[in-house]
Amino acid sequence: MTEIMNENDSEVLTEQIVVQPANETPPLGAAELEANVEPASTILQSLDPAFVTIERVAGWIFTSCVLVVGIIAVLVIAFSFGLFSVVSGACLLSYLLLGGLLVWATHVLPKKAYDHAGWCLTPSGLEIRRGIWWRSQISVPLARVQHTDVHQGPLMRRYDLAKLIVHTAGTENSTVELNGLNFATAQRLRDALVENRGSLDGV
Amino acid sequence: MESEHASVPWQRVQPISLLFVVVAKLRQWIIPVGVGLFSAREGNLLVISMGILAFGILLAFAITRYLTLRFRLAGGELQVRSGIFFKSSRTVPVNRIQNIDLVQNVMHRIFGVAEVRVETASGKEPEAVLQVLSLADVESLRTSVFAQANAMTNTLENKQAIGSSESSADTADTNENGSQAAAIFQSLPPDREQKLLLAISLKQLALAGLTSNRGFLLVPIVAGTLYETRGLTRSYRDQFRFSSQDFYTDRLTSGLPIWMIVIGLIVALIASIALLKLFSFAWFVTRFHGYQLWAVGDDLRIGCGLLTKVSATIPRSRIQFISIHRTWLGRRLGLAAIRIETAGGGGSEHENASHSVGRRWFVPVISENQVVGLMEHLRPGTQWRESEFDWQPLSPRAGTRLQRFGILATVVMTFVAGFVWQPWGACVGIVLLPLFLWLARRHARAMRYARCGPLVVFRSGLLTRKCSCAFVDKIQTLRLSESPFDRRWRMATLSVDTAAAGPAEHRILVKYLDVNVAQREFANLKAAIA
Repeated sequence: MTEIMNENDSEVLTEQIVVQPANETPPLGAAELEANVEPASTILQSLDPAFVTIERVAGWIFTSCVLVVGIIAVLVIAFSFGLFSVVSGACLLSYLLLGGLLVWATHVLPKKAYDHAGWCLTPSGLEIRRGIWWRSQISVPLARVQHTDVHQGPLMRRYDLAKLIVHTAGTENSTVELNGLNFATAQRLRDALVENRGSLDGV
Repeated sequence: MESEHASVPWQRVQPISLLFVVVAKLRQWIIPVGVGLFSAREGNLLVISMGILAFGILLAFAITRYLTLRFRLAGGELQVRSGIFFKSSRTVPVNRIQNIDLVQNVMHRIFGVAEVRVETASGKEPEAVLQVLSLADVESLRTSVFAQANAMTNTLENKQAIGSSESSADTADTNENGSQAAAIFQSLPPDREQKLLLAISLKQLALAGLTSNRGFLLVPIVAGTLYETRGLTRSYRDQFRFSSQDFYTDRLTSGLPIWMIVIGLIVALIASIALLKLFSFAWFVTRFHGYQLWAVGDDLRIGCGLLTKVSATIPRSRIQFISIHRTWLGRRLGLAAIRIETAGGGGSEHENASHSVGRRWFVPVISENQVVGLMEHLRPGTQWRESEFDWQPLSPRAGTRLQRFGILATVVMTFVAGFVWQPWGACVGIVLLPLFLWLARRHARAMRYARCGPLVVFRSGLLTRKCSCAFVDKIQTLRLSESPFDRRWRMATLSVDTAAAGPAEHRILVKYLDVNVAQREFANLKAAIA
C-alpha cells in the first residue's frame, strides 16, 4: 500500500517542482506599500502531511515518558507527606496542569508548525518559511549552495519523510534545514539545487 | 598530476627555518617550563624531567617536519608535502586561494626571510604555513599564484555566458575595465600595474592612538602583574589578617583631609587616562608604522609594522564585506577606520598578526575625505556617497517601541535599586528615565538601511558609528524574521548573511523595519541576487 502511495506522490511531484517563473518586482508605490501586498513569488508548497504524524509520535514518546516519571514523583511525594496533605494536593494539581499543557503542546503544536511552514523553489533560490510565534523566512540563492544533505531518521524512514540540509558559505545561516519533506521530494529538490547552482565557488 | 608536471622542481624552505622552529616551540613552552621550574623549586624533579622529555619529543617532530617539507606550484595547484614515516601531502587549487599573508618579526628581518600563510575559504586555520622563505621566493610565489588564479577564473568566466551566476554589477565592471581584463590574459606579466592607494603618516597614527581605547588591552595585564607582585611580596598570613578593603582604606585615608583625597583621585584618573592613551599610541605605532596600501593588478597589498612587519595580499574580488567605523572622538577629528571581511579564515577569534591586519585593521585610520576615493578602489564602480544613499528609515513606531523598552528597564531598575538601597535608591529612576528615553530616540535615529545598485548598506551605533556594506553578489542567505513583539508593532527584522562574518564586528541586521518595507526589500534583494 505504501509503495503505491509513493508512486503516486512522486508523479505529482514531477509537476510540483517546476521552477516558478521569475517574479517581476515593479517599483512599489506608497499606496501599494500600505495595502500590505504579499510578494508575488510566494506560492508556497506545504510539507508532507505525515510530518504532523511523526512529530506527534515523537512528541508522544517524550510526553508519555515525562508523564510516567511525573506520576511516580507525585505518588512518592503523596505517600511521604500523607495522601491528603496540602503538599501532595499542590503537587497533584501542578502535575495535572503541566501534564495538560504538555499533552496540548504535543497534540496541537505539530499541526500549527505544519500550517506555518512552507517552501518554494524559484529562479531566485530556495525559500523557506517556518515558525509559529517566531516566524522567519529564509532565502538561499541557487548560486550560493555549497552542498546539500538529505537526512532520514528511523521514524522518518517509516513514514517516508526526509530532512533536506542546505549548506552555504555563510556564517550565521550557513546551514539551512527543511524538515518534513517527502523523501522523493527531498531528493528531487536536492538534485534541482545542485544542478542549478553556478560553477563558481560562491565566495 | 605528479607525472604531468614532474618537471616542476620541488622547493624547500630556507635552512634557517630550523632556528625559527626551535624558537617558536620554546615560546609556546614558556608557561609550562615556568610551571616546571616553579615546582622544581619545591623539589618536584619528576614534573620537570617529564616536561623536558615531552618538549624534546615535540621538538623532534617539528624539526623532522621542517626538514622534510617540500612545496611547488604545478598545474594550477600549490602542493605541499612533508614527513618521513607518516607522509602528508596537501594540494590546494590556486584559484581557491583567498589570500597570501606574510609575517616578518625582528628575527625574520635579521635573516631576510619571512613566514608565509596561504589561506582558502575553508576552516579557521591557514591552509598552508611555509616557515620560512626568502623574500625573493615569497615574491615569486605570490605573483605566480595570483597570476595563475586570475587567468583560471577569467577563462572560467568566459566559458560560461558572462553573468549567468555573477551579478550584473560584476559584468558591468568587466565591461568597463575590458582593457584590464585583457591584460591579465597575457599570462602573468611580472610588472603588473602598481598603484599606491593609501599611506598613513605618523601624525595620523598618533591621532588614531589618541582616539582609540586600545590601551585597555593592557589593563588586565597590568592588573595581573600588580596582583602577582603583591601576592609574592606579602605572605599569605598578612593577606588573611586584613580584609583587603580595610587594608586599602587604612593605607589611603590615614590622617589625610578629604580635599586631598579628592585631588589625589582626580590626578590618578587623569594620569591613568594619559597612560592609556600612551599605550594606545604605542600600539598603533608599533603595529602600523609605515602603513601602505597598494593596488597590484587585481590584488590589494598591505604592508606595515615597526618591529614585526606584516604584509597581506587580498584579491579584490574576494572582499565580502566592507565596514567603516567612526568613533566619537574620530568623528570630531574627521577620522575613520575601514575593516573588510574576506572568506579566508573566517570567524577565528585569535588575532594573529597578518590576519588581523588584512581584515580587522585593514585601514586602521583614514581621513574622512579619502574614504570615497578608496572605496572606489576596493571595488571598482562603487559610488560611495553616504549622504546621497536612499536611506530607508525604520518603522515610524521604532522610536516609540524602544522608548517603551526604556520605560520598562527604568521601572525594573528603580525597583531593584529601591529594594537594595532603601528608601532613596528609587531616585535612580528619576535620572534614568529621561536618559533612556533620549537614548532610545537617538538609537532609532542612528539605524538606517539603504540599497544602492549592488550595495546593501546598513549603519548603526551611537558612540561608534558603524556603516557597513555587503555586495549583492556576495550575499549568502537572506532572512526575514518576525517575533510576536514585531507582529504587535507591525515590524520585521531583515538580515543578510555573508561568508566569514566576524572581523568587521558589524552585521547587516536591520531590526524594527516596517513590515511592508521589510517584505518589499526581501523580495527586491532576492530578485537582485538571482
